[in-house]
Amino acid sequence: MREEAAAADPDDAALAAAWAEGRDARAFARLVGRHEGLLRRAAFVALGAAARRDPLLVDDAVQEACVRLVGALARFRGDSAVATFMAAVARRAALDELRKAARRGAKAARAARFAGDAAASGDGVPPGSGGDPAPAFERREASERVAALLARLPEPERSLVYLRDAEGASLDDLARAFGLREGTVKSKLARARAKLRGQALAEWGDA
Amino acid sequence: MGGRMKRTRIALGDGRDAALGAALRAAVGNLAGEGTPRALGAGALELAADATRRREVRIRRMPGTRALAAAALAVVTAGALGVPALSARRRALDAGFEAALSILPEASTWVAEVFTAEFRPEGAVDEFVAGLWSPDSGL
Repeated sequence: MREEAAAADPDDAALAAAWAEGRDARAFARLVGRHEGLLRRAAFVALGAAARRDPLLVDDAVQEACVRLVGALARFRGDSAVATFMAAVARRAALDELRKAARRGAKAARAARFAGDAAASGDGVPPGSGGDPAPAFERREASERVAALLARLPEPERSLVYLRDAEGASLDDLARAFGLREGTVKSKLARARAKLRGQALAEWGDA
Repeated sequence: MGGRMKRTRIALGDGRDAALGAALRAAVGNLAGEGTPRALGAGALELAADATRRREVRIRRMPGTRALAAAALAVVTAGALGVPALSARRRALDAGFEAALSILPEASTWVAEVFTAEFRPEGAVDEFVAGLWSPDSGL
């Protein structure tokens, strides 16, 4: 069973089961590798403005999420989509990283680390982007503006609206993963969207 | 009757706002560092899994041991990030294992032991493991 699960291109549920039931490390690795981007995005969204001030927090949160997922996926009962469950774990890890960072008061040390990384890598333009940096800059600036709007929402509205609208998570999966009633998820989504639209209109309505 | 507007599902929050989602997805994907060298790569993770098998890790159902092996796996994996060539990844993996020895608390005495069959966390190590997976950890 474990060999079969790892050999083909099994779906998330099969990989999660292979890990939960057989401790198939390859299945775990494949599952985490498949959803690496989702973990990063979920952590980024949960971190809010802090992720933009300190991008290394995202790395820390993802690493912490990976550690937690080994235990969490082993206990996963398949009552929601695996991807949504993993995103929820990444979100919690990110929120805990945020609390830890605040407690440690490590802001200055991290800023220094990040400054060092940026200096070591040149002018801060992502490696491999090459050519004219202007489009990349504009894209990043636009992304910053959208992310700033999103970051103004409180949790869990921020993560809910992101996972629902951007990642396509279902309402019942979100309700299970966040420990909320489906009606509560709906009302929080409606509120979050209204706030985002209101903020966008206030900022860019005249543009 | 025919002139009455239908209630939109999106307004109630039970639909999906695809346009908003696309904007959020693009912005967050752009800023979250997808594909950066620090990101976890599937290849690196699979190598980590291979490495654990080579070392014949036996993850038993005892929660502490499982969690400890998990933590070690994650840290070893993290050591193999962003290395493109297979041989270099293998070296990075070994380096990652060495890094695990220094990253995790009390690592010098117990991380290596995770890769043996008869390991039982005790004392401070057990506390560390319990802390990782306690209900307060957010899971």
